[in-house]
Formats: sequence, C-alpha cells, structure tokens
Amino acid sequence: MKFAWNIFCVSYLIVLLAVGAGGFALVETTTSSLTESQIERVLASNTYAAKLFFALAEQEAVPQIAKLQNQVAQITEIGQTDRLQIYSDASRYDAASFASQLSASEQGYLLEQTDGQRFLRAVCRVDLAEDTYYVETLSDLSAVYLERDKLIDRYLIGVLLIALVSGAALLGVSFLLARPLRRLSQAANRIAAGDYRKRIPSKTGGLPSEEIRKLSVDFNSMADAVEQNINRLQAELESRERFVAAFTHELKTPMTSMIGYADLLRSYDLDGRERREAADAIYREGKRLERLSMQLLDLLVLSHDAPPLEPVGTPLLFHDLSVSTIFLSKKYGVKIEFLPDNATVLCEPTLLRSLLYNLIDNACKASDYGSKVNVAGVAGDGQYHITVSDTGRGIAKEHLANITEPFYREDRARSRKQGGAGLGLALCKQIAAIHGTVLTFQSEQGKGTTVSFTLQRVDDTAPSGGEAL
Amino acid sequence: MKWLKYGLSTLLILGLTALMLVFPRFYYARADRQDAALKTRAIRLESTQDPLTAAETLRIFSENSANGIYTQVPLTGSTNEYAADCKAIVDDIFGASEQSPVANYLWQKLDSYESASIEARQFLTLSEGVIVRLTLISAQFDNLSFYYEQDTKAAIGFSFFIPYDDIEPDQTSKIIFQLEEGIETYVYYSTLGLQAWEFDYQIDALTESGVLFSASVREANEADAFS
Repeated sequence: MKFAWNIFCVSYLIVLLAVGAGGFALVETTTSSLTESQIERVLASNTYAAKLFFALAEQEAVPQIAKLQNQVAQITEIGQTDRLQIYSDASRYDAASFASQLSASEQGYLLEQTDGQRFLRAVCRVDLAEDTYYVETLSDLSAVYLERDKLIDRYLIGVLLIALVSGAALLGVSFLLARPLRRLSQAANRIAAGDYRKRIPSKTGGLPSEEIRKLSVDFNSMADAVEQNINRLQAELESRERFVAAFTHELKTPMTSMIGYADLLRSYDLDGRERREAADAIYREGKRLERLSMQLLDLLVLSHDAPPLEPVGTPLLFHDLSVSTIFLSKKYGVKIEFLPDNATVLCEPTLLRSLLYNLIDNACKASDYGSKVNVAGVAGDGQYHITVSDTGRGIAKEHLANITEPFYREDRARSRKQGGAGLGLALCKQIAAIHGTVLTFQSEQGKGTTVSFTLQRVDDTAPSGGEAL
Repeated sequence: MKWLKYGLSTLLILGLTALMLVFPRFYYARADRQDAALKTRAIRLESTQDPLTAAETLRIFSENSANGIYTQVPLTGSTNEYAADCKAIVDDIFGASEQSPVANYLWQKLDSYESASIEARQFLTLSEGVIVRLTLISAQFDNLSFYYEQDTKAAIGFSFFIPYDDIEPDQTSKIIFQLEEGIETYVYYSTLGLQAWEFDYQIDALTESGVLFSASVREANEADAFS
C-alpha cells in the first residue's frame, strides 16, 4: 500500500479511537455520576421514610397508615417528583411480585419505563409485630435520562463530525507528506534511466519539513557524485578507446613499412644500394617500434610505482639540464636560456630532468629557427615554480585539453616526421603527478606556449636569484 | 492483492467508525436492562442516636421545630424533680442564686410554688439523615414557665412574671436592672452556639403589677427573617 494511505489509516484510527474512547468516557462519567447520585438520593430518601415510619409506628398500638404517611412525607420533605406510598397489605401493592421478593428490613429498587418516562421505584419492607408494611418511593428520573440521551446524541454528532473532518484533513496531510517522497522516487527513476542531470528542487511542494529538505539536498549530492563518476568513467572509457585506436595505428604504420620492405627484399633481386636502403628502412622502423614500447613501459611503470622523492638543489639540476640540451639547441637552431632561482626542491632528479627535457624538446620543435626558449625557476613561499616558454607556433585551443593524453598529437604528420609517437607529454603528465603537481598549458596560436608546474621547496632559506646558464 | 489490501483497510476504517457510533447505544441499552432488574440491599430501621449535647439539642430544635412530629408521652418523674430541673436551668442562665436577685427569686418560687402543670412530648425529626428523638418538657410553676429538653436540660424557652408585691422595694430595681441588661440570657444562648438572631429575649417592666420577662429559641424560618 502507498505510504500516504498507511499514514492516513494509522493516524485516522488513532484519532478516531482517542476521540471515541475519550468522548465516551466523558459521557459515561457524566451520566453515571448524574444517575447514581439521583438513585442514591431516592434510596436515601426511601430509607429515611422507612426509618421514620418505623419509629412513628412503634409508638402506636394500631398504626394509622394514612396519618403516618402524611407525617413521614412532611418530615422527609418528599416533593412532587417523588411519591411516597405506605402499604400494609402486599396484595394491594402495585408491584406484588416485587414486594414478595423482599426480606425483612430489606430495600429493593428497580428502574421502570412507562410511556417514555423513567421511574425509580424504591421499596423498604418494614416488619412491625405481626404486620408487614411497605414504604415505597417512586421518583421520576426522566429528566436525568433525557439529559443522558442528549449527551449521547452530542457525542455521536461530535464523533461523526470529527471523523469526517479529521478524515479529510488527515488524507490531505498524508498525501502532502508523501508528495516529496514521490518526487524523490520519480527523480531516482529518471536517474536510473540515464538522466543524470535530474535534480530535486529545493521546494518539493509538500509540507515544509527539515528532514525532507535535507533528504532532497542529500539526494542531489548523491546525484552530483553519481553524475561526476559517470562522466569520469565515460571520459576514461573514451580515453582508453582513443589510446587503443592510436596505439593500433602507431603499431600499424611502422609494421606496414617493415613488411613492405621485407617483401621487396624477398621478392626481387635488388642491387646493393637498394638492399641497404630497404634494410635501413626496416631498421629505422624497428627502432621506432622499440622506442614506442620503451615509452609505453615507462608510462606503465610510472603509473603503478612512484619512486621516492629527495631534496635536490636547483643549481645542479639546471646545470645538468643545460648541458644535456646543447644538442637540442644546435639541432633546432634555437637558443635555450635558463633563469633559475637557487633553492632546494623535493623531486626525483632523473624523472624531473626527463620531464624538463621533454618540455624543452617540444618547445624547440615548435619554435622557428633562431628563436629563443626560456626555462625559468622562481622560488616562492614553500614552492618552486618552473616555466618553459617558447615563441613558436602555439597550440589550438581545442587541442589544449587533450595534449597530455597518450598518442594525441596536434599535427600527426609533422609529429611523426619529427620522430614523435605522442607519448612524451603523457609521460610528463605522469611525472608531474608523481611530484604532486599538474602541468598547466597557456598557449596562443602564432605567439607561443608556456608550460608551468610547481614543486615543493624543502629549504628554509630565502630564495636567491640565480644566474643565467 | 493490492486492491484487496486497500479494500480491507477501508472496511476497517468504516467498521471502526460505525462501531464508535453505535457502541454507546448498545452500552446504555444493556445498562438499562440491568437497571430494570430488581436490586436489593439490607437496611437498618432502628435508629441509634448518640447522646446529644445541649448545644446540639438547641441547634436541631431550632432548625427542625416546624418539621417534626410531636407526640404526647407520659411523665417519667415527679413534679419536684422537674422543679429541680428548672432550678438547674435557672442556675445555668442567671448564675448562683446567692449573687443573682433574679435567680434568688426564681429559686424561692420553685421551692414554694402553689400550682404546677407538667407536660412531656416526644419530638421526632430527621436531622442530617439521622432520626432524632427529643423529650420536651413544658413545666409551669405559678407564674414561671420553662420549656426544655429533658435529657440535656437545654432551655428552649422560659418566661416568668414577678409581681411587685412579691419582692422587697429595694430588690425591684436590682431585678429590673439585671433583666434589662439581659447579659445572662445572651451569654447562655451564645455559649450553646446560637447566633444573636437565633434567639430572642425581652422584658416588659412597664406593667403596673410586675415585671414580665421571656426568652426563647427562634424557629429556623423566623431566625432567617431576622438575620
């Protein structure tokens, strides 16, 4: 059954039972108190009358019933609602069977209903010498029972009204209470069906409730987390698909070349120069495949086993780098300028040199002949900021987000011509992650690119400006 | 199954609502049937009355004197015994005869009365659910009248006429002075718990032949009118 219906049923039954039982208890307490007091009054009056009759009759040899009845009525002040009768003969008595059931000095009473009126008949049996007398008080209690019937009628009308009003109100409240839950259920179904953007509005339309509002907020937080995870998984899946496609392509190109040259050597009788050219091509493509596999191996190792970091002085680091990049400067005709602050940073020196070498290599490749590549190190408060910038052709905006993915290349033809497989920046990204930092690319086509990242300083000394290397 | 549950719960709600509406009628119909059957209980017809004090006697008589039965009963003592009762009452009201000229005179008359008339009546009434019997004595010795309850000697009323011829001239002014102040009468009834409007006393000293004094407890209705 629905939640709203359950709430309605339970709350309605509680209200009905509480109102019904409480109302009836009130009616019963009032009416029983009223009727019991009236009955007790009549019985007491009847008892006094009997006692008086007994006391008066004792003094007379032959009691005169009529006279004694008047005297007793006068003293007991039995009014118009009560009628006093004293009988000396049970056979003349109205309720002969009633009288016959009474023992000596016993009082009997019962309620009688005649023509819609209710009377209490109370009788005392008085034994005097050998005679038996019956002192009867007949009291009209119709007013009391009429009042009781009115109370019952009011109770019934009250219960009926409360049942109708509370039933309608509780039904409405129950559906209002359940409304936010229905909204939540609908939203959960939408999300389950793939609509990860579905959220619960802050006002769900039901009764204002802190719990429901918090539930909506929590639900939205959960939906946010689910959406983010789904997006991340989708991005990762797409990345893997691109990786596999690119990897297949990178394998296929040299393999095609090698198979072609091998088939040429096998099928034709080539002269010495042609055989050398074919063998050179097979060797070159083979070396390319070897480099590709080594880079992939590095990427795999770095993603699983992070080497320990150690304090390294930046002067030594940049000195080694300046020596190892002389070759690049000559190869691409680019001037490489190092401007490092002196500091001690936490790094794995071999990997950090590899990272910087790759960035400088890429900067040189992108730069025009005769231009300049700057490598700067700025010591900050607890951090060391390194930037590699060039004034080359720059990177298109649409490529910036993907250039660190394996095998991703902005210009495939030119990259392959320059001997790249598209794994360099992926390795750089992995090395940066090992150092607890990320690579930040700022580029504008035709004006150049700046790559930066931050290392953690471990020295306490104030930074000092270095000299250009 | 789902609709069966809805149906059953709806039936439960309607059933309980109907039960709440019809239950009182059934309950009281059953209660009336039970009340229509004869119920009996034992009663005690003989009234046992604790001995009353003088104050209780006056209070009961004051409140029920008009709502009781008076029955003539035979005397249980001699005239002298009733005269002794009256002497005791005189003592209670006016003090020792040696110090009170009124008491001294009344005592003398009660010792040497010429004629006496005594009557006894039983007064039967209902007071606070208890049947009360009082034996009321109406005694007249010459010009002295006493109305009192035999057991408690509580004076419900008394009156006497003192002729000037019976007393020495020097005693006349003392007697008139004592009766005019009425202090003793006031103290007597106040001590027995009656309020000022519940009793009455008066002196008529203007008669040419003597002094007439009377005092009595008022009936409840009469006292209400005065209060």
